Amino acid sequence: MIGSVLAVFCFEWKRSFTWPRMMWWLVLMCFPIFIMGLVRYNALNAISASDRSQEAFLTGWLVLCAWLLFALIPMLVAMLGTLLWTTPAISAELERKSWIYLAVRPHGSLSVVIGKYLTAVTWVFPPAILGLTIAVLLAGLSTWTEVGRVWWTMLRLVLLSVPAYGAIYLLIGVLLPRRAMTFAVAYTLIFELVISFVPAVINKLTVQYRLRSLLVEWCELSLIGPNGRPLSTSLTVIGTEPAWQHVLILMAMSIGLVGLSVVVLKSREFSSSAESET
Amino acid sequence: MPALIDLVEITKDYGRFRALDRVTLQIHSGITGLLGPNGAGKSTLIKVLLGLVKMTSGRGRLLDFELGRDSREIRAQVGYMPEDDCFLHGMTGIESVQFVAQLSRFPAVEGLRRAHEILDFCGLAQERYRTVETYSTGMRQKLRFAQAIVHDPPVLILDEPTSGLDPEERQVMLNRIRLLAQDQGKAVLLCTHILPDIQSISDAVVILARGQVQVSQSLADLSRPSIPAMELRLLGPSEPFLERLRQQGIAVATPVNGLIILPGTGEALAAAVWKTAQECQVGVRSLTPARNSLEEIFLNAVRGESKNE
Repeated sequence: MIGSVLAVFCFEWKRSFTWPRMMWWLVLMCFPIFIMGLVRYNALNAISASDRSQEAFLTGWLVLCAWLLFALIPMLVAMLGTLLWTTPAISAELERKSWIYLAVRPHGSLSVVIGKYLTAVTWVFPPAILGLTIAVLLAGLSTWTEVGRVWWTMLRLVLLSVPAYGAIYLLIGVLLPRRAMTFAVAYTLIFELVISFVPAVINKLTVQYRLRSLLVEWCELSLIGPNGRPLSTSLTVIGTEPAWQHVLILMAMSIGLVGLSVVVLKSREFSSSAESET
Repeated sequence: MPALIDLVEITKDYGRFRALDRVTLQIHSGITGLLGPNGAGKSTLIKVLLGLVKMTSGRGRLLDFELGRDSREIRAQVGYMPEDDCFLHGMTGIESVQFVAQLSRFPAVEGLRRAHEILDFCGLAQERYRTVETYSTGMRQKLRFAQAIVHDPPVLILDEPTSGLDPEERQVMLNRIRLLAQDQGKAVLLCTHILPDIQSISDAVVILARGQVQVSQSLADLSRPSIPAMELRLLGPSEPFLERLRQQGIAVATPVNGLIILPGTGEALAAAVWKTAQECQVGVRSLTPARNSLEEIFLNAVRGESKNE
């Protein structure tokens, strides 16, 4: 089984070195750098040199950079990268009619799904981490300690978000292979971008909620408003649970959803594009 | 001899459509031709055997493994060559065979060794280093065949293995299949629409129509006519020869397209034919036991099924 997974993993990685995929890789890496550079350029132009060294500006700038990098890398890059590579794990093979070749091997279908998942996760890490490193350096944070703290926080968030989003999209791909992309995009928009901000218990089911809470805790971002009271919205959209709990839940979510995909895969009948989902 | 594949009352429904209807079947070693018109249930039967679809009811065994329960073990024992032209794009021939070997539990190096060995057997020489997208139809057939047998399975299921091949390549492919069945003792389930292929290499025939088994018998038994007879073809004028035979009390019908049917079999009849031919100065092109043609058997089976509706 491990040998089969490894074979799929190596094959998928080899298949990744095509121009379109390399371009995507480059886009995922460069986009956060470009946005960070643009924001910094505009900010520096808008504020005088004397104001830039003031305490309030520096604190605000740190908060802005942390949220911006969070939105760009553990969110956008992780979501987009895994969406592109794990969602079509099965549908692509069904369309190419190569699924049957793989499915008739002893561990074929499981190896393909797990191998593709691991490929997607490891494929997204390099652009996310490279992009993060360059973007943090470009952000112009006031001290190296801040640079290090933001970078280390984002790195941990990337390491948690990529497997979690990958597992979600994989499950969607296994459950609904015919409209996998549509459902994955709908899930992202509805759950991760809307419901995660709904001040209700349901937002705790989203990856976003966990990542956001970890960002605030690890980056030590203040949730105190100008009046000295905690920001009312932050109380429900950012969790107060300890960090280890969020980490544990995200890891359990990744493993659990991949496991669920495997269970679903074993109980479904995919044979070809013409006869799938019977 | 115990059957390698033993199916009892297998039924498969796709919603309200019944693809297989209480299929009971035993398949022994050697080559078994699986025939049926489009929509007869051949593909569904193959998928049930491979565990790709779950049967609605019934039970079955493949070797020592239970269908539906031991799918993984069954897949390790079966080599399947699908009909569809499906390839893992971006791979060379050798890589794609090695890849499926690895998926069949071979370590990478052993998989590569097996892949080379099998591609040699299948006649893919230097082409193995080209990407599969550049392959001709014949090469693709060979590659699919190589992928099916790379893990040395005792049971082979080959879906249209000779379609798209030129006559020479087709013959070579049939020889390979025959070799695997005869020399290596593999059980081959050969699913094809090309009846002469089945007639030339199969030991047994299964004919499916509308999800039901219409015929399941050895080809020798099926080919044997209900009344024993010999088929004779002559070189030269046949009338004096036929007249002479009739005088000897052999009831000979008028030849159709040069084919003379002689009732009965045995050495006495053959001796009479040879003797008469010598007397009449005509050459004997062929003298063989009469056989029912597979096409006739197939059409009768399918028509018979239709009449039963």
